[in-house]
Amino acid sequence: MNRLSQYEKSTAEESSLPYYETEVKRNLTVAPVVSITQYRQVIHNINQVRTTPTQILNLRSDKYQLATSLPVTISEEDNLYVITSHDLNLFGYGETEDEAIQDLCETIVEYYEDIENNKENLGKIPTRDKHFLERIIQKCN
Amino acid sequence: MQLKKKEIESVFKKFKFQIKETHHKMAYLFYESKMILKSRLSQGSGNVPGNITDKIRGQLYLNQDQFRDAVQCPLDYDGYITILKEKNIIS
Repeated sequence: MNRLSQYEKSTAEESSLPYYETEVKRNLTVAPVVSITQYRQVIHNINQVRTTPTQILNLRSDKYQLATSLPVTISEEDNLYVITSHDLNLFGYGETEDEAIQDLCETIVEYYEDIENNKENLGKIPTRDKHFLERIIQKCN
Repeated sequence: MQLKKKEIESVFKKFKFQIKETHHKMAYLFYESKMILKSRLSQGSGNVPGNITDKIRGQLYLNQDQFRDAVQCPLDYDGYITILKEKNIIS
């Protein structure tokens, strides 16, 4: 019996064994085993949620502009774009990337103005945010 | 955790977040006349996507169990203030 026939015979005998045991019997290195369904689910999840770091340079406001770029992340899941400023713990969202950016810009401006209107009565987190916003936002001339 | 917009609004109401009457996106928690926390109102009506619910939960400084309790009622305003004090968000 040549080597190929031996291999075919042994493969036929082993076909009833689970994949892991077969590989152990052959004394081969065993990689982590996942079913094709699990594998497809992982790939699906990776494709579903993609988070991309980027920056905002334009606050899209007539009254305020950014003095420096604002780091954000953009993620997309189920056709919904979410853009997050982790520095401010603020987010915007929409059905397109542009809508999400516009939403975040409006949220930042509203928060900035509300902080300004309450600047004598701020707790720890709004005080921290105020200092950050004062560094990155300036009034348009 | 996907929720209905009404469920999130009821959490804001229970925790006494202030929401302006006109077209606005933000809600604020005031405690002893000080602005303590901000959170974002959800757009539209119906269901709020799970990832947006998670972002709002993060703005409320609640973990998943605490947020579930907030939605399902065991966590009331006083309990929430206690949590914020424990986290040193309110001094």
